[in-house]
Amino acid sequence: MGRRCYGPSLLGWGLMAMVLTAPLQATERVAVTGGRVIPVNGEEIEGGTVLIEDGRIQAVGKDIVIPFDAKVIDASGKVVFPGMIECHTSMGLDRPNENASVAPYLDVADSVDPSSVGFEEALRSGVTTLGISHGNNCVVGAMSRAVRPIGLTAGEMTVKSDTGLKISMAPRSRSNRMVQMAQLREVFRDLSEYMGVLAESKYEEKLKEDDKKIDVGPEEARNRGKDLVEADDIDDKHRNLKRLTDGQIGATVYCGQAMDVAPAIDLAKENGFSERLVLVLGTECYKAVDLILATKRPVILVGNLIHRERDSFSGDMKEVFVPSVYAKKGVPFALLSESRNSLGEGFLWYQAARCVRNGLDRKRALEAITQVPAQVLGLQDRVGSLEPGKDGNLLILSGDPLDGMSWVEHVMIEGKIVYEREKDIRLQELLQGITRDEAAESEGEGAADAGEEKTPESSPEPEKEKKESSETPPKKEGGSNSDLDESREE
Amino acid sequence: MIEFPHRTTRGINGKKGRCFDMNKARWILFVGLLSFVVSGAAVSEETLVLRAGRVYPGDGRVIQDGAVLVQDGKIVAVGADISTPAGATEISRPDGVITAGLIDAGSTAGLMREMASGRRIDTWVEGVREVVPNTRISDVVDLLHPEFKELARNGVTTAYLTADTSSVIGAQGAVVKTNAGSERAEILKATHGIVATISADTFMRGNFNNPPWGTPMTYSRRPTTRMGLIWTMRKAFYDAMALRDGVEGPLGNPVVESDDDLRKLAKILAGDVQFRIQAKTRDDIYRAVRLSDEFGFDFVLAEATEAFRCLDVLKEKEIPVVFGPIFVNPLGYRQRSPDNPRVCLETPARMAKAGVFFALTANDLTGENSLPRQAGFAMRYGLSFDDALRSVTSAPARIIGQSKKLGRVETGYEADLVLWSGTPFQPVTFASAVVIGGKVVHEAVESK
Repeated sequence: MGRRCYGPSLLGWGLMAMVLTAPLQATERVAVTGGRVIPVNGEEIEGGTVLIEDGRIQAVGKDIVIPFDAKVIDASGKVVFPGMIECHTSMGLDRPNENASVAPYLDVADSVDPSSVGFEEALRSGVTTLGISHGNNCVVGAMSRAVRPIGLTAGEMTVKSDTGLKISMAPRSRSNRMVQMAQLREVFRDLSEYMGVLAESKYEEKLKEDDKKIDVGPEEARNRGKDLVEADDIDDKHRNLKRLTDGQIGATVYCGQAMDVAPAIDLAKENGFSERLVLVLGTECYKAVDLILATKRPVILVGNLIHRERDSFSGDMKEVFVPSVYAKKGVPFALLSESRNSLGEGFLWYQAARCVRNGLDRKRALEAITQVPAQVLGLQDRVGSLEPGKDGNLLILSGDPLDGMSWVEHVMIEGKIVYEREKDIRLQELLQGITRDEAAESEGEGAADAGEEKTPESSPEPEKEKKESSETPPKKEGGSNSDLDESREE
Repeated sequence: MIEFPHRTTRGINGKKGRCFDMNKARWILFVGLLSFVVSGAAVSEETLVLRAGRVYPGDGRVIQDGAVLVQDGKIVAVGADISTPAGATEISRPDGVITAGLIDAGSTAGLMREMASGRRIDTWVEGVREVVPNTRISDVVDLLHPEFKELARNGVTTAYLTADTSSVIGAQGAVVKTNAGSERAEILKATHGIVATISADTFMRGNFNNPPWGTPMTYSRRPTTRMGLIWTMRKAFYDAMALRDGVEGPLGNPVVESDDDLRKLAKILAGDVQFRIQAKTRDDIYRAVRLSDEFGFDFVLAEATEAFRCLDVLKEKEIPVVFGPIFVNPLGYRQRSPDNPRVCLETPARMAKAGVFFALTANDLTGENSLPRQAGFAMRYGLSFDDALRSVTSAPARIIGQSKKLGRVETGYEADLVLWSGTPFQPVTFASAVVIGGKVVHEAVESK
């Protein structure tokens, strides 16, 4: 029963995704008008327009001529905000950690489940780009990729593949830091050994082709053969590592504690990927903020933003709100949501709002969920703000992004509306506490025939309750001061 | 005196053993008067004025650019045209909002201890008997616990400390002020209400007395089923009735330690002591209602996750609810509970709409799940601001029997106030200043 009801919306997304990938005949223009536009990269525009052509933003501003053939979406009274970016998550991976400790030949694409509820939840909370990464329980993990939370296959979802190799400085479970570091050193030593052997054999091959005899020792042969190695010659196990050391791809390096930061930076320097290093920083890592600042790279902060530490002498609990430390030093950081166990921490906007509550600049807080994560994923030219040339990824919010009462009304990805709150059945279920089975039952047998989306209003249960409550007189409190139980014992 | 405040008001054995000593009382009165005279000159120093862009007294009104005048721990005046007397302390925040201090009607602050290993353990779970209404939370609470400091920092000025839910009929709760001005909490009322449970918590919560091989059984814990739970509760009340009515005869093994426990239960039956029943699922809530019909006691429903499925009965029987915490995924010990109640995020809003009287609680949750966040998310999920404010101020004040003293910004009420940095319960808003009993116990340092 449940599937039957949810099916149509999935089908809808599917169709949308197909439309997205289908070759477009004519230029498609969408204009989102009248809203308060928060482009993030510049000043807010009251009553601004965002014009999108063929999925790309064409213009953002106040006095924009709307082409006659543009589909106009009225956002007056609402807020237009770029789609938020969750840049480091294992969402959709059934098992985020590979058993083998070194697995650079893997790609998360093979494990992403497009029908994962997480992606649906992402849309609902205004996330339009996600950086999918291998878990932290690895030495060298899989290749990450940036996806949009729509599409029927990992391929359709992909915005950008190869966004970075996952490396962890924190020891794997049942391991320790010495072993972890030894394994990491081993990985790169093995790579250079492998490349040497490969170069040597390539040189020998070349000599054989030229009918020449080996004229130099192995050392020189390796040197001469270096340029003969082509990308295809390198095996799967080493290819991504080689691309990393060659500076073609980056690495997302997880540091669990402050002590992991220095070795991570050294590792990047020694192996030539400092320019493409992205540190994922555990809560305690703020202690290494100066080292982090010196890398001049944006960083990712894990969802737990408060570091608690008991002073071993006084016994006092010390609390540090970590983003404040980075903000003060001027380290650009991206925020992540905390996956569960909290009312608000699962939402990126809430994490940003917490930053404002703790004294951070509103601008910096908004950047931490849009522009900085875009930069982290190497997508700064495509997403993260509303400016011409970027993807038409935007949210129409009922209010300010950091307002606790705001809801995501519409989500647009590359110019297509992919989420509408009023059609969000699952949200209504969560809010109203009805299960899909119940809703389907009360819907009756003939309800599931049509392919149309079932709106929450059509389920009789809440209606019944509404009716009941309207019969009861409005609550009277205020005036009465009588306690429920002024204990008569005293 | 502070350590054992209950001894100052009544004897251990309740009315019978009340050791009210007239001589002692005269002395107290005399010393009290003396100290009043001595401190008379210092009255003006105790004067405090809080100013903010908006003041919500808690009766639905809003006072723009209002102020609250506090003298000697009491609110003396509330309004728009209040001038600051000479020598008074003034805290002003033009973009701020003043509300009454929040009240958590179901907190567990100060009741968990942290072991050296960092693991938190229950200290207030009585494992010997299932019916322990004569035990008191106030005997075990750590008033210096940092959790109280955190509560105060979050704007929670008063907390009802609820007994643990692993007993069928558990201990008596206590009402505390979260900060008495010296980084410690103060007991306002050493005993208030008795907390009972109709949920799997009785046999699943805590594991110190569970057998190492898993499921609780009769050798380790009784009851092990809902049937056993209801039986235990019934048996306790029948024994209490028998004692009350002087019935003699074979009543079988008692479920209580002593007759004093039964006398406490008789007080519940007489309506002298508040009875609070924790229940999560719809059928457990109905079970509680059935028992209340059977024995004729009133009760306050606690936790009540599935309250949205029995709004009509809660309204009809006028059962007050201490609802919460709100969650999507169960938090804390609830994750291990086999109850697994259905979640409806709109529950607070729907209770308000249906006219059910309720307060919100964060229970054992802190940080981003603390009481102001509970209220904020209740608002996100449909509750109006006025109802949200009421559900964390005047409603819990009424439930904990303090509605004439706490929960409003009104002349004559105790000066428990919060000056918020902006609209209360918003995720960007923090408690800029917290006043308890006229003393500023917390002032936020802004790090901009």
